[in-house]
Amino acid sequence: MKILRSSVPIWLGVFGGSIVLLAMFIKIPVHVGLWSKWFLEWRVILASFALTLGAGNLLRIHANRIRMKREAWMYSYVTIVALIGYTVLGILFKRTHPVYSFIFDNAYSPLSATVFSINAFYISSACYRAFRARNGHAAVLLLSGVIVMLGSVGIGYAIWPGFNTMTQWIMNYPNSAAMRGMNIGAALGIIGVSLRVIFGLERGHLGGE
Amino acid sequence: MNGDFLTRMQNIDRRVIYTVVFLVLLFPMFNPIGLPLKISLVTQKAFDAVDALPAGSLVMFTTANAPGTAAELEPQSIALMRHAINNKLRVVLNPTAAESPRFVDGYRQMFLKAGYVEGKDFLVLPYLAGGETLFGAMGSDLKSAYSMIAAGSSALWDSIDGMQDFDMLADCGGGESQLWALAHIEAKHKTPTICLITAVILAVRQPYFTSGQYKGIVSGLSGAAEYEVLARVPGKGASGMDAQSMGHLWVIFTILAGNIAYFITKGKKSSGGDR
Amino acid sequence: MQLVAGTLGKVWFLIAFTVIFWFFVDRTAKGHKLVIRRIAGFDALDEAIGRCTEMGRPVHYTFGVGELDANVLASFDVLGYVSGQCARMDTDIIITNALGEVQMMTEEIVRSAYVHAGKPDAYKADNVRFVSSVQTAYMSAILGIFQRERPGANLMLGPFFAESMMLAEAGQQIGAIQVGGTGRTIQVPFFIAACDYTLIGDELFVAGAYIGRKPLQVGAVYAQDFGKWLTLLLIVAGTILATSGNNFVTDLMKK
Repeated sequence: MKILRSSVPIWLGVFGGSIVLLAMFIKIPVHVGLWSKWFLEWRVILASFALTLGAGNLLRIHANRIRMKREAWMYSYVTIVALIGYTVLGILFKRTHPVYSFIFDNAYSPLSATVFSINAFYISSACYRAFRARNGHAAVLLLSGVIVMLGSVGIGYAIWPGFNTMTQWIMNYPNSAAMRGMNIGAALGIIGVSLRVIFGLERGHLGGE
Repeated sequence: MNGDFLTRMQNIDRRVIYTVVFLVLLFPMFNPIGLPLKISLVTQKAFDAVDALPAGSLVMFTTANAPGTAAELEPQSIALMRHAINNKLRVVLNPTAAESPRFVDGYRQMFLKAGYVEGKDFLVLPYLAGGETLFGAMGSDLKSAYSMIAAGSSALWDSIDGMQDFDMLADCGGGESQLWALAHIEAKHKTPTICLITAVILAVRQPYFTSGQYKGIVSGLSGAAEYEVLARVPGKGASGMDAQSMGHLWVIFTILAGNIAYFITKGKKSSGGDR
Repeated sequence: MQLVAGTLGKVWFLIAFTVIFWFFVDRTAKGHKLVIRRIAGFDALDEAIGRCTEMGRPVHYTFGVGELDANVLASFDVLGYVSGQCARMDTDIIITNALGEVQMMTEEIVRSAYVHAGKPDAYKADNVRFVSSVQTAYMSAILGIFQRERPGANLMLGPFFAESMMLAEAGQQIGAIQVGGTGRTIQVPFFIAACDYTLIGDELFVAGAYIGRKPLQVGAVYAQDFGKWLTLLLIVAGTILATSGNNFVTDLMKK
């Protein structure tokens, strides 16, 4: 049992990671190339099936909430009915069916867009709080932030066309340089984690501290 | 200046900020101001790259559009589809997020209305999960990634061997898919690539434009409005620009007000405060 | 055996990086002590859990809506540590998950942290929650949890997308102490604006080495830093050569 929980996942990571990595760079013999393709395809298939696991967990938690009458338990009924109902509808009638489309267009889409639009409000309050010129660096951040905001919309251009030119410059040079630096650091971090998986040194995903 | 007022200006109640954001966004939607629109370099280049494609060129449009990001991505996508139709390009529509097929259905209707024949002039691929793995599979062997499409079911699909046959890849989304497109398709097959993105991620995509890996970027609602103007296909992008301008102006106002109050308070403290 | 076109430069870089990687891993395996600088975001984890214990509020932990990638793998190390500390301090931990494929792993990590802490009975399976793989549903589920269960700490470590801003600002509104960290650089400014502590760029990826103090992983972190020097060397050499009309480095990276 211990082998199944620790050694097998590590060796699967070593084997799968090495094959996929090799296939990225080297035209390897057909049968090894096929292994790489299979790993990639399995990943696509597993990602789809994993949703079922998630849905199972969701159902269990909400069923428990109802059974134990926890706070706001009645909303759990809405979740369960929506989850099962819409899934059954999709399987039985397919995506193009008018009922499926009606729910997607008139319930799901507006709800999603509404939740997403809350970001506009949250960004405004976060900007107000964070953009305070407490020192020289913060002042530079504030100034460049205001210029980019003005240079990205019509009102900035109407006030002074130079905002647009300054925005282009900020985005092309200081921004690109800083982002490249951060991206290179993050990419090396990702390579580091991946090598740790491939060499069997990464075990955080197997549980324990 | 009254100390209480200055303190309040540094701590404006977020409910006040939210209410004014709502009002300044709402007002221009009913009373358009008609603010000027400056075409940005990234949009111009994206338009030029598509416009330069001769009629009959093959374009893959991968989209991760979802209801949450549709306010920005849908006007961009529609403008691009209409441009493709006007220039008689062949398009393979590829939804790469679970919510995207519904949007692709809409583009399909646009092509059908324009007289395109499905399977010959354009094609809709089924949605597949997998994220980066899917892009990796597409880059290495497109046909086996979509092995569920039977040979002989579509003339267009039969004529394609892999991503190397595409004259352009246009990736649309607010996530990482543009980077996957670069890593697994552009780098491998040198497919000219443009991306349609939410405005917030322009800062991290711009370096790939300056390096020449993206031929162009359509970013946010402003990018959609600019593309509509360039392609002469009026749409929803331009109508949202005034609201965006006013929203930006209000955020700038709150930031400046907070900072002015902060500096006056700081000045008073260092000179001994209110007397 | 042939190289895939356009990968020669990358292969050389990967080989060099792997050699450096093994060099440092080997050094640490042989007992050489390597030091990692202090990272405030990780140091703040105990403070956050302690605060929750004092206030009698739960800790909230989430990965974001990305996919199972290096960000999630690095975050697992932090989750294991945080769960163990919560178990020891009798503080509830709520984990919200948008990634179906890691739900089982998440449950296993938390359960095993409770077992290691000697409190297997304190583990609550219902607190490891898959909420939705859809971003907006995921966000609204967490906003609901914030309002109902009012966590005292909000730990957001993983592959975040646009939900970073909303979750961080909502956490700020309920007064939670917040730590945000992601390798997705675009989300870093949002975390900086709304969180108390932020792990920038590759800081998240040193979690295993920093928290667990596992020697082999510390070696891997050193390799990462040397990788940066190697990249810098390539950039400087490439720039100087290209300016003087020699495109050797740029051509090598394109080949």
